[in-house]
Amino acid sequence: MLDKDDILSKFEPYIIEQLDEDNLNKIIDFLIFEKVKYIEDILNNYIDIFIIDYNEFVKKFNKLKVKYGNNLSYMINENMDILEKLL
Amino acid sequence: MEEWTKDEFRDLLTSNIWNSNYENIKEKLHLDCWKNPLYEHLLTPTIFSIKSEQITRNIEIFEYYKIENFITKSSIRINSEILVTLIEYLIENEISLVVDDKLNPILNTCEKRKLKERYGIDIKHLMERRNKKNVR
Repeated sequence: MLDKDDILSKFEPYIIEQLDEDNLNKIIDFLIFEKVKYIEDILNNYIDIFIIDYNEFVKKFNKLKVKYGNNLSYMINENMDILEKLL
Repeated sequence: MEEWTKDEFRDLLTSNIWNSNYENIKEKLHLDCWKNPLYEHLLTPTIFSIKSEQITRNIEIFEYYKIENFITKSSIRINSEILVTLIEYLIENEISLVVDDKLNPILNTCEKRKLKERYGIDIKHLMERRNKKNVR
């Protein structure tokens, strides 16, 4: 479940303002397709990656896949620090 | 901005920065904590997304518990109240805050579901218990 209070207490208001529901849903679907787990936790702690334009996000994600190989999703599930590289 | 000519800030110049505003960028780059070389590694684009109070508060918590040498990028994203609750939980259960010269992974885990699945820690329950204690 999305923890709105947690998100609002941590993130700059401009991040929240720039969230676009359609963009956010597309990124969520993409991450699920890529077998990334803990989507709920990613939303609560890395909401800033969801303001990245979907197409740009996919491009950046695929670039990371080239760097880390097919293990990328597993690596994200193990350590979300990698998501910082999308910023 | 003149800051972009400085080596320590150059890696922060990513596309994400265009989503921020001048005041926010300026404020973040001039937080007192960056004067301490211990925290240089925290200078990543994340700082533009996270509120200054959250960044400084979490650093203060690490300093209070004398584990500032082990602070990580992820730990800056943990809600301050959750961070203190987790530290208190580890201390109460005599679990070391530092393992193999690294921060105990529990303190690096800002994911509530993972905390529960992997470490059996129900952070919601711990926080409720902590809040009740503090009310007494």
